[in-house]
Amino acid sequence: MLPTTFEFRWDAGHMIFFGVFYAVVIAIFTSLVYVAVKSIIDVYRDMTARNEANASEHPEHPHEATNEAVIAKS
Amino acid sequence: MKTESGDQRIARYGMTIDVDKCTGCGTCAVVCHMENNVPFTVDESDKSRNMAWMRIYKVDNGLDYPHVRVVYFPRPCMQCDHHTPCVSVCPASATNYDGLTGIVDQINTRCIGCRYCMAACPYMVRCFNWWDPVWPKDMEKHLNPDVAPRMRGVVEKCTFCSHRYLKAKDKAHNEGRDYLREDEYVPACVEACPVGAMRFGDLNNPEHAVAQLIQSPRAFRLLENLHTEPKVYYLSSYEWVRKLADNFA
Amino acid sequence: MTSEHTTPKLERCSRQKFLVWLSVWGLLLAWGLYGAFLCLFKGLNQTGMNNYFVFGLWITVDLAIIALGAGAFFSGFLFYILKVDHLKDLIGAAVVIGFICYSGAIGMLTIDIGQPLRGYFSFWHANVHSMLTEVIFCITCYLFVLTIEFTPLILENKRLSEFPLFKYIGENLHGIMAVFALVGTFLSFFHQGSLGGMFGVLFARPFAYRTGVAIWPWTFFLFILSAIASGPALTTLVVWTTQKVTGKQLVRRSTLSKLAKLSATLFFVYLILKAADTVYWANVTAPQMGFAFTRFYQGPYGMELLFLELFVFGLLPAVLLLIPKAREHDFSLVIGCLFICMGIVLNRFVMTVQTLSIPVLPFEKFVAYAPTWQEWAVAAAVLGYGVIVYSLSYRYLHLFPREHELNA
Repeated sequence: MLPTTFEFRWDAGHMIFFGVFYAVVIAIFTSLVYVAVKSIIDVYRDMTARNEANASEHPEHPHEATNEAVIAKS
Repeated sequence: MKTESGDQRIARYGMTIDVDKCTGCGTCAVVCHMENNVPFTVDESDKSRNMAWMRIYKVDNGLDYPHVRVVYFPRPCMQCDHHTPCVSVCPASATNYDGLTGIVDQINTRCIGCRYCMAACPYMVRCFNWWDPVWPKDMEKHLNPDVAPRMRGVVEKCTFCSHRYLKAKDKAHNEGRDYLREDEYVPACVEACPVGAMRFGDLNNPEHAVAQLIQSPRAFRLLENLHTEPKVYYLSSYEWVRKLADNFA
Repeated sequence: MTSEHTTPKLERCSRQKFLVWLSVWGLLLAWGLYGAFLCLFKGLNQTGMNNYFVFGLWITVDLAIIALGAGAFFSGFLFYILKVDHLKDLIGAAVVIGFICYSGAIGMLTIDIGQPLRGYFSFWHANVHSMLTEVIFCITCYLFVLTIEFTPLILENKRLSEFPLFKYIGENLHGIMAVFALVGTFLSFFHQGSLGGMFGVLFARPFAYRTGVAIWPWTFFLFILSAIASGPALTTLVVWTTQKVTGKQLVRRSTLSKLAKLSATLFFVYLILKAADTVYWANVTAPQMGFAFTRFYQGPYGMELLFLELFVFGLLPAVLLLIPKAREHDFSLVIGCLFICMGIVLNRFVMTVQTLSIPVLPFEKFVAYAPTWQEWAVAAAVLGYGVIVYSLSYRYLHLFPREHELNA
């Protein structure tokens, strides 16, 4: 499976077989990483949006609102 | 290895078995068990599950007395030379074809016990360890220290006593030789045959007796139609015996 | 399947009734687990297998359920890649059935090998020239892909989707499901084919050996085609049974008919190719190896098996389901799909058990095989496991998107 394995010999068969195998593994894991990262970003975006909505609905907390605005500007 | 005359060549170790000489005494099978630590089962009458690297088939010509004739076919591993059926199918590379000797060996510690090799072998050579090997206490002292006993759940088979090859090679190396003499490496079954029905040597070496014997018109192999190119040849002068070795549509 | 909709409240049976249902199948599973334990603890001497029959009931069931589980990849391919929209009705069920079949098969394989702890050697010391290596790599990867395809269904569960991260993971997985469907299709093509190739390459077993193209024997292609034909048949059968058991309409009737038609069409094409393969093998391949065709069919594995495979469980259901009126009747639809599935099981049995029963060495005899209760128990456990997973999925997940609409 790995070139470090005992008695491993590279030949055309290994190149084709493992080439395809690792391509499949990379395709699966890249997609999973994409999903994981996008999901975390989505959750963060939701949280930010909720915080913003809360801030605009509750102007009695001017300190928080000011902070949000400063962050957004910067 | 080189030949005695000094030519560098790849060996193809093979065997000839003269079925006209074989008496079916079973010595080859017994010494094979002893030499290779082949375990036995509680019920040895169940031939479908027993362990036998060397099995002896009793075959007759199908005629009634007084025309009936019987021959015995001792059957070790055929050590197939072409696209060896068991080697190509093993998923874990546990069956190995040694390019320098032509010996088909089994790496027992790598076998996962899937038994695909047994399905691939037409000669019924391979045995699966259905039970843990158990020897009576005193018998353990007689185990051959050169051959590791196998455990439950792995496949094993005749290796042409490849441990004897390694030993002979080491001996030759220590003596400063880079070749093996004909009689230096011989499997246990060949050595023990009381009637000299079995011969062993390098099929590529014209100086070896086996290389000459396989040229004989008496020589034939089992299941030649399958083109597995066995390195075990049988010898018989009888046409009906030679015909028994293959299937004909 | 889309995440934007809100899952409607679906009516399910009482918890007590459900537990009784589960315990019945749980008993079957427990019986199988006991059998599996004996095989693992005492060894494979607990089975009816021997040095002649090195493969038995388990490999037959493995090959069969992997073929029947092909409905998952084929439906996924049709739905996500070719955009066959009506499959949306049951794509979730097809994925669950596929997951059950593959995980069950891998579980059985683990018990079937003599050294389960060394199972990873086939990855570590892979012999890339072996068809079995290809099978092991592909079914493992594909089970992983099926798990990924199953995940959004689980995350759509009302309770779980209350967690924003789970909700988004489900949505995003669903968003790129086409990638997994494509990878799954690729893997499935190869392992379905390699399962056929496993037997087709046995050039020292004239009953199984087939010529072919490059490294692939004809059985490679026949197994792919038979799997994609029978997979939808099993999906149809399971969905129909679910409807009967639950007393609800879960998918449109036309969807089942269309799926059965697809299955029958593919099965018909398979049968034509299978017949051509059989004729060539019987007249050319086998005689070249010294075997007359009739010599293969002896003892309990007689010529009737070939007749059953090609006609009773072959041509008959294929023609039946190609008749539009027959597909509209539940009885003929179910019989047709059931017979297609049985045809595939029989084909896998023949390739596995009959191949090994025929002596190749002229001194050997024709042998027969009978599984022990431990083997039956493990095979039955896969059924028990399957029903439990499927029942839990039906109860707690939204397997059939049209269920609410069709039962309003």
